[in-house]
Formats: sequence, C-alpha cells, structure tokens
Amino acid sequence: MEHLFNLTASGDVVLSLLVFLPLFGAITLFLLPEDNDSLARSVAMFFAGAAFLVSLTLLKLFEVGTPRMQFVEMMDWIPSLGVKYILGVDGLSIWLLILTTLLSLLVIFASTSIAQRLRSYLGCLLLLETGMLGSFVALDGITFYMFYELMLIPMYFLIGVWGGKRKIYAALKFFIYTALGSLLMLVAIVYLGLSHEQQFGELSFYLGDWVNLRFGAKEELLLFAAFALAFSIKIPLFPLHTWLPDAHVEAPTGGSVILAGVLLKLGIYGLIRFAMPIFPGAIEALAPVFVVLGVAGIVYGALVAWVQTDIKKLVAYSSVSHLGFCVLGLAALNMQGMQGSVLQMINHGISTGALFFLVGVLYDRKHTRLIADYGGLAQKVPMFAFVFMVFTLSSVGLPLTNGFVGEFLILLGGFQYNPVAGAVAVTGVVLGALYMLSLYRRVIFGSFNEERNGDLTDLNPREKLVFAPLLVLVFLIGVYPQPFLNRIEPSTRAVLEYVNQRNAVAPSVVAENPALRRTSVPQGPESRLEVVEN
Amino acid sequence: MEKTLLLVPLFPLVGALLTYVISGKDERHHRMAGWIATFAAVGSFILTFQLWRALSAVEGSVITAHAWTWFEVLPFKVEFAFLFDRLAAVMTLIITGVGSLIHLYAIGYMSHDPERPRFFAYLNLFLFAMLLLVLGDNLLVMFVGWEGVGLCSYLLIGFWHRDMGNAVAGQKAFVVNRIGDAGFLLGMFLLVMMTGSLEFQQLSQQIPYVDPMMIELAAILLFIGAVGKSAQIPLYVWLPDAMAGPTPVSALIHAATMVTAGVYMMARMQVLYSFAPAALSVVLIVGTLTAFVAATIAIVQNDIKKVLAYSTVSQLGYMFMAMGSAAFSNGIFHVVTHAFFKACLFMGAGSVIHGCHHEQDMRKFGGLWRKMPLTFVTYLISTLAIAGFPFTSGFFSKDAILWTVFNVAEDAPAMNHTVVVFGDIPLNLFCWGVGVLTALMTAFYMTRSLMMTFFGKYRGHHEPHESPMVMTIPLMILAALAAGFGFVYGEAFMEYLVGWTRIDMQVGHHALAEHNEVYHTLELFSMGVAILGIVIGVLCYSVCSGIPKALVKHAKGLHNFLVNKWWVDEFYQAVLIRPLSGFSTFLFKSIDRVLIDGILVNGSGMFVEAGGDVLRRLQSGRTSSYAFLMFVSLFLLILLYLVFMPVPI
Repeated sequence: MEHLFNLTASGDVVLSLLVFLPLFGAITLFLLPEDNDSLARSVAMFFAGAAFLVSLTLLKLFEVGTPRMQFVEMMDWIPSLGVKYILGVDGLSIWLLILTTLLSLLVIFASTSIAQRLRSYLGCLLLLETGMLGSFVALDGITFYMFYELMLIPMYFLIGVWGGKRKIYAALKFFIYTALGSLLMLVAIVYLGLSHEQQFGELSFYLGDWVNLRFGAKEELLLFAAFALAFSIKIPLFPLHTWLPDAHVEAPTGGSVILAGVLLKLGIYGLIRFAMPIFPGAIEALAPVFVVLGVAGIVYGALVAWVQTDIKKLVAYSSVSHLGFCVLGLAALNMQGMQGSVLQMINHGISTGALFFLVGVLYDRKHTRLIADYGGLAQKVPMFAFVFMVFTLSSVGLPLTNGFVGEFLILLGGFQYNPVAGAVAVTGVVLGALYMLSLYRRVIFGSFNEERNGDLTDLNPREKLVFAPLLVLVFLIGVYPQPFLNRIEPSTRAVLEYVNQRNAVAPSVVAENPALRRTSVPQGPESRLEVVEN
Repeated sequence: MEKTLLLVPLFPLVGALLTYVISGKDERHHRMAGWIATFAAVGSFILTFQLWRALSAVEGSVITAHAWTWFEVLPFKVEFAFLFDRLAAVMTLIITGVGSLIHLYAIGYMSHDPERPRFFAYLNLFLFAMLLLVLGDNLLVMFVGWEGVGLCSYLLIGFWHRDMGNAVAGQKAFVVNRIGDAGFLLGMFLLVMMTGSLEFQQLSQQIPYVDPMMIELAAILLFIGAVGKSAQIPLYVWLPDAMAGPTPVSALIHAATMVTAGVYMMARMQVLYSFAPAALSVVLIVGTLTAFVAATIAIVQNDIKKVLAYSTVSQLGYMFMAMGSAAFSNGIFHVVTHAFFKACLFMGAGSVIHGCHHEQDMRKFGGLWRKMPLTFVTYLISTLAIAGFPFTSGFFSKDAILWTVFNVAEDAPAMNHTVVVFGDIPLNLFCWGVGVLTALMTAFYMTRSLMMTFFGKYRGHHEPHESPMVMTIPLMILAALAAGFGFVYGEAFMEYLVGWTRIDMQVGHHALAEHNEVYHTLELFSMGVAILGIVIGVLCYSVCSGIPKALVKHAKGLHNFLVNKWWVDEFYQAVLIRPLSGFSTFLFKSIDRVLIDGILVNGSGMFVEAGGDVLRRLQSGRTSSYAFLMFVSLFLLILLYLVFMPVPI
C-alpha cells in the first residue's frame, strides 16, 4: 500500500489541467451570448475535446505494471484545517477518466436535440465533467467530497430543466436521495480527519494518512456504514435504487448517458478507493451483506426490467442488475471478482451509455419511449437495428463483446467466494438475455406500423459518429481486454493485498501498539463540527 | 500447419463480413452473396482436409495454434488457442463439408429472398462460431463458439422477422440455451476452482486427483449445458420451434452441427466423464427418455419439418445414450452419420417445400415421387438410413449404440452402471429396451413421412416442380454418404477414433470388432426391428390406410396428448413463465413502486414534510401563542421534575 499513498509530487499539472479544462469551458460558455447555439456547441466541443485528448495523453504516458499513483499533485489548500489538494491516478481510475471524457464529448456532440437553453445545458455538462474527473483523481477526503458534491448540482439542473414530464419530482428525488447519503459521508470524513488529529497529532484528510488510522470494531463499522451508504445509494445498490428509474426516465438523453455511464461508477469506485483501504475489517465483516444485496440486485433488477413497458425504464432497471454484478465482484474480495468489477464498470458505461443514446435516437424522432409504440423497426431503420443489436449483445454479455469478460470474471470470483451466491448470480445471465432480447424483439421485429412510424429515419451521420467509437470499444474489449486488465491489475491487487494483510494482522496491530488503541470514547462527530468551522 | 489451422475459422468470418457489407448494395451484389459465402465454406473445408492429411501423416500427433492471450487474472489465464486432433478433425470435416453443401443448396433455396446477403452473412458467422467451438483448446474458447452458435441460431430462426412468431421462436431458442449455458458456466467455475485451469490438456492431467464428488458435480453442470444446446429433456422445447427458420438453417444448425455440440463437448471432456459414473447414469437416462419421448411426438406430427425436428431430438437422445455408456466414439460416429442423413432429409424436405410453394403440411403433399424424382430418391435413401435399414450408415451407428448400452456393465465394470435398477432390470437393459422400441418408432414415423409426401395422390393446390441442380447435387452427395459411409468406412472410422480416445477403447472395439454370438443375435434383432417398422409404415399409409384413422379415433386421448407434445410447453408456461412474469410484476408494482419507493422513500419524505408542516404552525409569529406555549411548557417541565426527581430524604 505504500506505493499507493506515500506520494511524492511528480511536478506535473496534467491532472489539474484535465480536471479544470471543462470548468474553463463552462465559464467561457457563460461569457458567450445566450442565443448563439452553434458557437456554444463549438466552444463546448473544443473544451470537451481538449479534455479527451489530455486524458488520452495520460493513458499514453501511464506506466503499466505498477500500482503507484501517477501524475501526483500535492499542495496545501486550507492549511489551518489540514485540507490538501492531492490528485493522482492509478489503474483504478485511468480507464474511468477515459470513459468520462469520451462520454462527455459524445454527449456534447449529440446535443442537437436540445431545443432550449443549449448554452446552459452544455455548461452544466462541462461542470459535471469537472466534478466527475475531480472525484476520480482526488486523494484528499475534502477535495474528493467537494468534487463529489459538485456533480450533484449540474445533474440536478439537467434533470430538472431539460427533463420530461415529471422532471421536478425526479430531480428533487435524485438530489435529496444522493445528498442524504453524501452528508453522512461528510460527517464520517470530518470524523476521520479529527481521528487523525487524535491519533497522530495533526488534522489530515489525506487518504494516505487515513489508512494508518485504527478504530474500535463498532466505531469502524459505523464509519464504514456512513461511507457505504453514500456509495451504495450512488451505485445504486438494491434496495436503495428507486431514485434511478425516475431520474433516468425524466432526464434528457445526455443526462441519462452520463448518469448511467459515469456517475453510478463513483459508488463502486468510492468503495474500492476509500472504504476498502480505510476500513478493511469492516469490509470483510460486511462482505456477505454486500454479496447478498448485490446478488439480490442482479435478480431483482432483471426481473423488474423484464416487465417494463418503457424502454428507458427497462434500461434503467438493467443498470440495477448490472451494477449488482459489480458489487458482487467487489465484495467477493478476490482478484477475479475485483478485476471483473472494475472492468465491468467500463463495460457498463459503454453499453448502457450507448443504449441510452439509442433510446434518445428514437425519442428525438417520435417523442415516445413506450415499447408498444414501436415494432418492426428493422424494416425501416436497418442501421439502427444493427447498432441496437450489437449493444444488446454487449449488454447480455455475449463472448467476444465487452460484456462477457467482466461478467465472467465477476461470476468466477463470486463463485469462489460462495458457490451458492455464484449460482444465484448466474441466473442473471439467463434473465439478462430474457429482458434484453424481448425488448429488442418488441421494438425491432414483428410488423411495422407504417402509419405511426412511417416517418422514422435511420441514423444520421452525426449519430453514426457517436456510436462508432463505442462499437469499436465493444469489440476491442471483448476480443482483446488485456490492455485494459493490465492497467487495472496492479492497483486492484495492491488494494486487495492490503486489505488481506491488514485483516491478517489486525488484532496484533492493536495489541502491540497501545498508542493506537483508543482509550477514551470519542464524542459524537456532530459536536465536533463546530470545532472545524472555527 | 499452425497458420492453416488459424485460417480455418477465419475464412467464414471474413466471408460473413464481406456478405454483410454487400447487403446494402444492389441486386447484382446480392446474387454474389451466396457464392462468396459458399466459397468461404469450401475454402475452409479444403484447409481442413489438408490439416487432416497432415495429422494422419504422423501417428499420435496433434496440431495446435496459439492466436493470442485472451485475458489473464493471475494465476488464471485464458489463451485464445486452437487444437486439432482426431476428434476435432472429424467434427471440422463434417462442419465444413456438410456446411459447404448446405451453403450451396441455400443459394438455390434462398434465390428469391431479397435479404439473402444477410442470410449468408449469418450462415457464415455460424460456421465461424461452430469452428471455434470444436477447435478451441480450452473450455472457454469452446464456450465462445457455444454462445456464438446460439446467437447465429437466434438470428437465423428469426430471419424472417416480420412474422413475430419467428422472432419469438428465435428468442425462445436463445433464452432456453442460456439456461443450459448457465450450467456450463458453473461447471467451468467449479473446474477452475478445482484445477485452476480450463485447458483440456491441463484438465485431463488434474482431474484424477480431484475430489470425486466435485467431478460428478462438474460433469452434471457441464451436461446441463449440453442439455440446452443439444435439445434434451427438459430443455428440448426450443428445437421444434426453431423450425421457423429457413430450411437450410434447420439442416445445418438444427440437425447436422450445432445441436451435436453437446455430444462433442462430452467427447472432449471424456476424462472428466469417465471419472463420473453417476453423472454418466444421468446422461444415459436423459438420453433414453429424450429419444423415446421425441419419437412418440414425431409419430403424430403433420408438418414435415416438425417430424424431422422431433426425430432430431430423438436421434440426439441416442447419441447421449452412447455418451452415457461411456462409448464416446460411438456417439461421435452417430453424430457423423446423423449429419449425413438428417441434413439430407431436411434439405429434401426443403426441396419439397420449395417445389410446393412453401407448403409444409404433409397432408397437402402426396405422389411427389413422379414430379421430384431426385428429391424422392435421396429422401428415400436417408429415410432408410435413419430407420436403421441393414447396411445403411444409420444402421451401423445406431446398432453400435444399442450394443454398447446393452453391454455397458460387462465392458466397463468401473463405470458402475448397475447401481440404478428398476426392479430387477439393470438400468442399461431398461435403456436398451426403450432404445429398441424407439428404433421401431423411428422406422415407422420416417416411413410415414415418406409415404405421405411422395406416394398416393397429390393433395396440394400448386403445381409442384423439381428443384434446380444447385439444390439436388448436395442432396445426392449426402444421400450417397448416408447410404454407404457406414458400410465402406465404418470400421476404419471407429478405428480412427478409438485410436484417439483412451477411455472407451474396449467398448468401441467390442461394438464393431468382436463378433460374438450375442452381438450377432442382437444385430439380427435390430435389423428385424427396422424392417418391421418400415413395413408397418408402408402398410399403414398405403393399403391399410384405415388403421391410423381408426387408431386416432379410438385412442383420442393419447393422440391428443401426443399432438400437443405431452403438454410440455403448456406445462412450462403454467409452472415457470407465467408465475415468473407474475412475480416480476408483483416485484415491480408492489415491492418496488409501493413498498420501497412509495412507503419507505417517499414516505420518509412525506413524514419530514408533514413534520415540518406541524412544526411550522408553532412559529406563527403571534406573541399570545408563544406565551401560551411557554406557559404550557413550563408547567410540563415542573410536572416532569416533580415526578422523576428523586425525593431527598
């Protein structure tokens, strides 16, 4: 774990550049005249494109085979509170950064269907991108929290302003639900900072310092629960998922793509990055709970998806099922599961992102998302049918598409953790085929209603450009996932080994270092808030 | 040779891409599609032939090729690698050989279809997947092919997708197959846990040292995969529906190649199965039951393709009977002969359907032997072959299976097959009896289809015509193989395969080589059974046509039961699909919307809101109410103090 958290600044500022490019873009947008849509889009494209290029450069310079944090930036931010500005990227986050910049670029590129207040829409997307990128690279609790919350506001507006009929309800629900979780996490973050002061004599919110903290069993469980709740809502882990279908159904296409493609991943990412190394004992103790909820989510999400009548809602529930797989892989606490889990985050971002784009294509043309309103589309829009088929197969995890490798590794890991859990999770493979293929069949096959859908047009060049990179990724990861796995592996291995090692020696550490043992019962974290504010 | 091996699956893949690309182009390109696809298949066949020659040149050799490392999470590693040994050679030759003929046939069959480039793209893609399945040198590459053929099957069954029924059939095939695949996956997980690898070589070495219980479990789990793919009880229900696809598809995928994948898998994993006697007993029972049940249904079908579909299920059951008796090479022998005669039968049926303007009901056929002589002769030969008429290839392979089933306890005492007994009859004898009965039924229902189609008076409306050469040439080649392969090459073939297998050496040898007295008696018995079935069939559908009608009349219940396919689909619908769908709706409407979202989530929101509303009233801004509140509170506090304060003594 040393290589993860004993950091030295690299002297690069490339991560800051990456994180704040979209923010500059957003600021530039707000300086532009409001009604010039094409100019606004060009500017947004420029900044999102630049961020994408920077992230590709990062990928190129990224050193493979080491779990070390790379491109580290460190400086004091609020010295009196011990808050530092620490950024770094490792195998866990590198692909998530690429995914974020790619999907953001595509969403901005595909924003032609936004009829009103395009400038603000694009501004929100760019702001959101900064929030997501920042969350993936921040290694200081407070900095992380700031970026994490920064995502909330633009997403709230994306749903609330550009959303569908029940947009206000959905936006509010999304906001309150996620904010509730993250507030608890804030409490835990502050508590951790203060614990560091108590145990080591200085306030610190740096993750590398936090891993040295030792807690009593109950205390660790409570703190872990605060983090886990926030992240579980984000994932969303069954049964904390009900905000997701509402948010997805009401959100505009771009919002849905980002929400499913990137935002949900922050839950899994947060668990691996923060919760696992800081609370290795708690994660091991509670792993069965996560396995059970993950598996329950897989089956539950799939069954509920099966009976949906709204395409978008179906895809939303399929996310619950897919993210259940990710949770299972993570909680299995073995290499196969973890690797699969991290890879599956990328895969889900690609395939579900694309599926939401596809729903958007239909919605832009016919303004309905009901499955029953379509049918027989293969006769009218063959290109659309083909693209839809590929992403459907990717979603059901057909071998040689991206979905398979991740799912296979997760199930293998899950099976090794507990064969029964693995066996139940495997039914997700069957149910996945059931709901996705029956969606595909009802939309694409059968007789075509010329009267209702006669004016449907096939993918236009812009849409083809949107799907092209995602299609390439589907097969690239499916056929040759090794470049992806290679970069992820050292980091997941480091985390896992650290957790195992800590759990193996945990009792003795406390026993041999009385200084680490807590003598006084700490006061409730709420009362400490005042101290921080002073 | 390594490069040649890599090229074998690559040819049809490239063919698939090329034909798919030209699907958007004009009619002239469309005409090319079939030839491109056929060329790819033939090219693959020629390469396979070369490989086979090279393999035979050196005794005991195998050809391997490594493409790339697919993925690794150390210590677990999966290579994308291929293995060409005798078993793979046999399968590959069948797939590319019979596949080429069916491609050629399809050029004629699909000549009027506006979307044929797409059809040929799928067909070539299927060949690619099927080749991965049989050439993979580990279970996971096999699984890639396994799921890949499932996908192509799905796409081709629903090829005429305007009709929702076809699309539903395709989806049913995919989902039911996925149930099997789930078992396959679990079997793989178990093997990884036990041995740390999925490579066939590694597995064979490790398996003897693994806990026998785990071996049995893994064998059963993998067999569940085979049950799905090879349409065995209880997962066979997708195959009859799969006849919705174009007939060349039925011939290639749902008769000759894909559905035999389960048999191939067991042959490939024979080391595992030879250490799993209990699992083999299960295989034997499932195979026997499937053979029997499907044959009973085939007897009453009127759709010619449905007859052939159920007969395929039944013949697959025979193959699994062989596998369950640990006679792996016998099973593969039947795979080969079945590929010849069943592909020929399906394409013959296709030729009839094509000639009669897409009519499939045998009641609307009749007397076609005059109009379609070539189709008739080839269909006749294949019918004799599947019926087990003496010295046709079907006779040799089916007889070998029945013999091994009869003899299994004696030949392979280690297999422990007599554990399960029905009363006094050992399991294998019971299965043998059912197998013989099924052989009788097979001869009968195939003769029935022959008689209804080609003899009597023509009962249709359209003028039937013989199919073009491009369709009849493949028929003739396959009919020749169906007739003569067993007689000419049967012994050589078994020797060839037995040289490859290690486990069933004795069984295989006994089956054909050792001609003891019992064997001869049984052989004569089988001949008699086949001929009896054929004679009954001929009689019932020519001179004594009153008999079947009378039977239908007097045994109405039984007839209904069989016509409705033992009510299995209805049973699944009532016991599985509808409850699951109802449960899902319940989950969504009651649990998700009402309980979780309504009561817990929005409920807590409303609670806070309502609470806020109550508290808001307190801050009304009126001094009088504040004063009142203050007074009441003070009073309450004093009261509390007096009640709870301990009295100082």
